[in-house]
Amino acid sequence: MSARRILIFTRIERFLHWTQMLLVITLLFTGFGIHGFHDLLDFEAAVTWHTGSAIGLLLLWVFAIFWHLTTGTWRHYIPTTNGLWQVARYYAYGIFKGEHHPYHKAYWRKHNPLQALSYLALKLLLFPAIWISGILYLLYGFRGTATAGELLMWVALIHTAAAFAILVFVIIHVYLLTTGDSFKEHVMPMINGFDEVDLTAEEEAYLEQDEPDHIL
Amino acid sequence: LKDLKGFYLPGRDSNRWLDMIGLLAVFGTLAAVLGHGLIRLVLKRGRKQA
Repeated sequence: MSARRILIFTRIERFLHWTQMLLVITLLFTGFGIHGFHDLLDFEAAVTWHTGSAIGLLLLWVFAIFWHLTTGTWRHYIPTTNGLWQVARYYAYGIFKGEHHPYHKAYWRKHNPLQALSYLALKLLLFPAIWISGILYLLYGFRGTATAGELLMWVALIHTAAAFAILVFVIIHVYLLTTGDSFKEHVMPMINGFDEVDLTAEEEAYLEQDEPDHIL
Repeated sequence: LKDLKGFYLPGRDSNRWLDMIGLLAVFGTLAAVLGHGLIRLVLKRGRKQA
């Protein structure tokens, strides 16, 4: 086992991450505007921007899912309890005592167990809740009915509840960036792609042999 | 449109309970991370002085 700086977020992943971030922020801002929490955009503009970025995000997700499945990268999100407790204990207690983070990134495990579980829940529960209810919401207008009754209310409730939950995720996600040695160091892997990862001798040999520009 | 009842109109209607729980969750989370960060900061200073 040796710790090396390697490329953990390829250009595609960084593109997916930051495009998704921009679209999610736009959707939260316009969505809560439509909901009536603020008046910074007029209703029509908010709906146009909301619908446009929603379609953009759906396309991005189709591409991202295809990419994860074909590259095998989906495996990073397989839930594991191995080390989960240590990470939870660290954020609840050890971090205050100045302990080091108990988790080290591995070549096929670039997220800590708590992080992998959170991202999995986001992708499998919150995102589907928001896009399924969002598409139903959009299609409702095309049905040509003037009355939007009980059903639309439930669609709207689920859509709004999922939006609140995604905003909570965003707050925690950004906060956790401050918990490393520095904010910058924590953000850099998603900018230049490189981070320190524990490699087995085989992985190290493979990278040096076959992907020399992925290892420093 | 304001006075028409019996249907859900986005932008006009919302569920008071859901909004309350949602805002509580959002501001609760904000308060929690700020508190967590503040404790980290204070204890870090304490460690440096010790």
